[in-house]
Amino acid sequence: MDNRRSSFLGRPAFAALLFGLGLALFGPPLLGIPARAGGAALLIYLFTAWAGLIAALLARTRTRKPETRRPDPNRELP
Amino acid sequence: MFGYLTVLAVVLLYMAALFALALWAERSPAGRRLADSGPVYALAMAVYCTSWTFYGSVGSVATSGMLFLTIYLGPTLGAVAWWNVLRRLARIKHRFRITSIADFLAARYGKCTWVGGLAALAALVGSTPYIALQMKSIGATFAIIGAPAGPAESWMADHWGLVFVLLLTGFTIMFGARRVDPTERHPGMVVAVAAESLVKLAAFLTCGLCVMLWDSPGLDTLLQTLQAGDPAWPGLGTLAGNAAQPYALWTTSLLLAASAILFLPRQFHVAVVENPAENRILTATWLLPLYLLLINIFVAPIAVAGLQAGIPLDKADTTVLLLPMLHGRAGVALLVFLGGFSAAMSMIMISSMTASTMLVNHLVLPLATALKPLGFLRRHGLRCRWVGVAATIALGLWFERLVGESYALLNIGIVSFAAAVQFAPPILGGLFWAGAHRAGALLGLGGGMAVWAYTLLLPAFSRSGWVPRDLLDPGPWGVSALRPEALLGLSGLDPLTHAVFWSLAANLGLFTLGSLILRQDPDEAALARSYVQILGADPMAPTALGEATIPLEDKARILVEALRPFHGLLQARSILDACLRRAGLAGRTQVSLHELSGLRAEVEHALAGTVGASVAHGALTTAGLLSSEETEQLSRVYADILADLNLPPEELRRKVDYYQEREALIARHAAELERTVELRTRDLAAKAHELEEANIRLRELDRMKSAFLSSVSHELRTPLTSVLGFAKLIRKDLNAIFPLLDQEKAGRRCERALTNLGIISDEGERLTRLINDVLDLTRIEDGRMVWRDQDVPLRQILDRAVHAVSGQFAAKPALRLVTELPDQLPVLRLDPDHLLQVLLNLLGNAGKFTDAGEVRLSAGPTPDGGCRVSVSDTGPGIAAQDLPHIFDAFYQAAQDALVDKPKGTGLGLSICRRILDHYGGGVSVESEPGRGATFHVDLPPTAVAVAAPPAPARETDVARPAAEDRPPAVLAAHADPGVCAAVAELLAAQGYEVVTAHDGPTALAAARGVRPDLVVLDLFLRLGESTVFAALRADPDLCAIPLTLAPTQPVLGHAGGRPDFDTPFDPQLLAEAADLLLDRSRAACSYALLLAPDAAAETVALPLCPDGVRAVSPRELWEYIETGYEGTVLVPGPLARDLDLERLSREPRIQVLILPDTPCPADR
Repeated sequence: MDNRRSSFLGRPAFAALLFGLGLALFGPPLLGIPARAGGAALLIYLFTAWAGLIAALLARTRTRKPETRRPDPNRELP
Repeated sequence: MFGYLTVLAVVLLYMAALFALALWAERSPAGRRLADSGPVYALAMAVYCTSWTFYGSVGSVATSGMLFLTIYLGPTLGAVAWWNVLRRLARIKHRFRITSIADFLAARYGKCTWVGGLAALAALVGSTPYIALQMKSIGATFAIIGAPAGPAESWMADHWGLVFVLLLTGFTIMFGARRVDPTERHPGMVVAVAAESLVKLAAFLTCGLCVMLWDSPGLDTLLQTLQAGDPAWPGLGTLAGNAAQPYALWTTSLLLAASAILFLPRQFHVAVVENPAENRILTATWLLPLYLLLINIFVAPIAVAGLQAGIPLDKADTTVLLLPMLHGRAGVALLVFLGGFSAAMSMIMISSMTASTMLVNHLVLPLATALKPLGFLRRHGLRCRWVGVAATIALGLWFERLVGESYALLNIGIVSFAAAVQFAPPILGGLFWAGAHRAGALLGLGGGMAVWAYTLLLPAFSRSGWVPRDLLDPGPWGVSALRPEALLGLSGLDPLTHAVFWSLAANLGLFTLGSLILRQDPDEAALARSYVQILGADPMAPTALGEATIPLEDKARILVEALRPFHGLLQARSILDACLRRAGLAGRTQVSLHELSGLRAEVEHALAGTVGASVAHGALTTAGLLSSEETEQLSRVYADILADLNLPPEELRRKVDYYQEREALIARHAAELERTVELRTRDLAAKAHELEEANIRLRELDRMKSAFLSSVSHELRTPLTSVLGFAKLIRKDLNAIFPLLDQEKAGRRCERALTNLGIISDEGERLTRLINDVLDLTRIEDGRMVWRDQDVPLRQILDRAVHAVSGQFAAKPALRLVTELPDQLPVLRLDPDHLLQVLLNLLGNAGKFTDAGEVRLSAGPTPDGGCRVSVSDTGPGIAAQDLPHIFDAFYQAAQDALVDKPKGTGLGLSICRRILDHYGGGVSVESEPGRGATFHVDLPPTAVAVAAPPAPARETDVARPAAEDRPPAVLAAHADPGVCAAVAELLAAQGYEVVTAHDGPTALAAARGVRPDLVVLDLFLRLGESTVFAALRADPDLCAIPLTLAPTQPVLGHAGGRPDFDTPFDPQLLAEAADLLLDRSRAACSYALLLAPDAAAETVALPLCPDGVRAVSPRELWEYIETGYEGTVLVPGPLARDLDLERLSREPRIQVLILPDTPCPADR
């Protein structure tokens, strides 16, 4: 289960999902809801969503690290 | 709040600390490791937070609500794509030695000078006002926190800008433009910028915490104010202030910020050019957004607190600094000032460094190449960069003074962001689209920048009053469709969104159009593929093929000429030499075409690091390195290679890339291994040196130890002799006095005093033996031992040894000493006393540790011509763990401590080993616990003078000689074994059977067991609380045995370890006395004194004294002795008690004989 989750977090699809989620969170129409609720609500919403996005980035980073290895020189020729 | 000079002093101290940190980062390995770390990389990218954000965010809250957060949310969104985008950029930078964002674009698009120049120009246009903004923030906050207090400070108020320009220029040149090659990273600068990022974060958090905890009514009130808004600060609590299309503005700002974090020139430099390794991007992906979140977390609360504190809207930008000052928090205010200064300083340093690099590489050098009058500048690239740094910073200051509070400057931050986004299409297109053409890039970038300037910069200038406002409305020449803020009739958008929309549209459209219409030439296409496929492999190099027929000297001259305009003649030659070495062509006179091609690539690579890829390519292309024939030949060879391989070019490239990658990897590993081996070798050499030094020190300490022991032993022995002598004198005197005392009263005390004196005497003697052993050992170690080698029969030495220990064995009826010796034994060439010392030690140990059974002494020749003497016993044996150590100095087997045996010094066996080592022999032991032990003394053939023929051994029980054959027996009883051995040797040579004893019980037991005919006695040899002398005199069975006194305190000269009886012991007198007492058939002595009880002295004729015996009274005896009498003194036993025997025994040349059965002359 963990392996599947890790591999998904490291995929470009997750990056795209994260980017889309960020756009949705910080763009209309979702952003309009706290904006209409007032300054304090907007502030809390923005920082909460921001922190969540950073946590997701951190998780993605952790799964990405193995890919930073240098290519195996003994691998088969393409 | 502070004087200007105080603030300046703090700033100088702060910069000095940064200078020290940067210097450490550049010069120490630990500093470089720190600079290469992920957190420092991420913190350096936080140069993004300039003073515009440090101070301006709070001001933005007052006017635009939460819009300021888009500047930081944008990078967080963009970070999702960094691993793909930024990694490509970083790899391209490493491969193509990219120096700046302009260099990247120029290199990507066919090394086009125009693209680089345009990009550099765009970057410069954006950087100067931005630097001006930083200068403005420094000046404004300096004026707020400081106050002039004297003439000097008034001067500072007017000239602060000059001071800061000098400081910042010096710092930037020192750590950012000191070297020729700008592609090298700047660890000092990076670490300093990272430290500044920490300072500004700490400053902002400190201010925020003060607001939250002390300087505001509380979080609830703050949130309520934020929720309700306030007319004084109209933007407070809104999404984007009073923007007509808040969501459009919000989204545009997000897009700009996501782009600016990578494509602002300073950000490109920190993120790409200063990237230490690709995986550092992963750290930055989350750490930088976290940093941005933290530095903004208190922005809104500070803004509300500022509003509540009554700070007016036009001062909202400086709320962060004003708040702590209003609440009297001077320290916090100073920290905030330093935070804002850090934000401005880091931006100015990085921006001026990158701007000067771009200015020189993409504007100055191309111009210098194109215009001959400016050609000299090519030789001064580094100085040009220094001038560029100073000029950029000074230009920023001048611009700040010029435009002041204008609208244009206040909005330059977001305007710069909009300019930076123009780099996005050509960069991202260059990364992902192999078909992106340089014309497209040129058109797109140019068009985008033009529209940006028209729609964003021009309205700002117009509002600042620098251009007519008619341009804005109704538009140029009255054409409303050309209105900068409603281009082509697009109205209703805020100016920023409008400008970004049109500029990006123009940029993307022209870029795409130009790329689609025009076809790339092969070089550009190859470069494009390299960029797009950058994640696939490392660069390739042509394989060296073909014959080496091209003279290298001519080509080298051309290459030097190509380098010379940029570096001067000497440096050009140096660079070429380095390139020749890297290409493996050093020392060659002729090269192949492929090797020449490789050399060209190396030189271009090196030159690109200095002047940028496009200029370097142009310089090499125009140098005429390859003739037309060589160019054609090279093309043919490449075509042939492709044909031979039957591969399409792409496939060939992939394969070459793959092997290139492997080669690079192997080379890196080899280099690492070499470094590791070098380090290890250095470590080993250092350790060997340390060991050698330690060995020298140890040898010196050992020598000092031996010298010390020798010296101390000598010094100890002298007083010890006196102590022993006086102890015995006291004992003798007390023995005479105590019987006179009242036994009832003094009995116990007297008894205790005598016992204590006995202990003193015993311990003193033991200490004497220890000292003698130590002296022997140190003499052997020092090489000062005297070896009196002579030819001596082994049998003679063995007999002496047996005689010497016979008394010890006689005291143990259950123990037999058996010799197993052949008739013929070799004659040895060695010092007999030393070998005797060895044998006495082994036999003595065997006798000491064996209670019953036998001790066997055997000897015989060995097959190699040497000789072996063995001593075996049936004692308890030696434990296995003790065997390896028993020959070590001061080592005593564990069992020694467990059984009730007299302890030795622990030096005997060690001395044995060293004696035998001297002769090239050895001593070894075989033992099993409970089965006894056997010691072997091996002497080499060199120690054998005359070998003995092999013969069967004959066993003899030494302790039980046949009574009828027994010669007169003599018991030598003395505390010193050496004296015993000497006496035994002397008397044995006279034909007597001699047994020895070293202690009282043994002596008494031997006397009872052997019944000797004569006892040569140490007068004070102790037996419990009494002496052997007293015991012998008191025993009715033994009192008839005559005694002669051995030296009571022998002076052992130890010449070569042999006792040297100079005084008071005379061997000749002893022999004569023995002969006299044992009634030998020869004249024993010529003359003697016989002690008589009265004073009448007369000569008595005795048969064995031809000259007679003269009877003397005790007084006369002393008179004789004092006038020089030398000879024998006969003392009748009954008179001995009253005679000062000790004094007598100490007299030189006097031999005392105690005649128990001889009647006193007076009695006869």
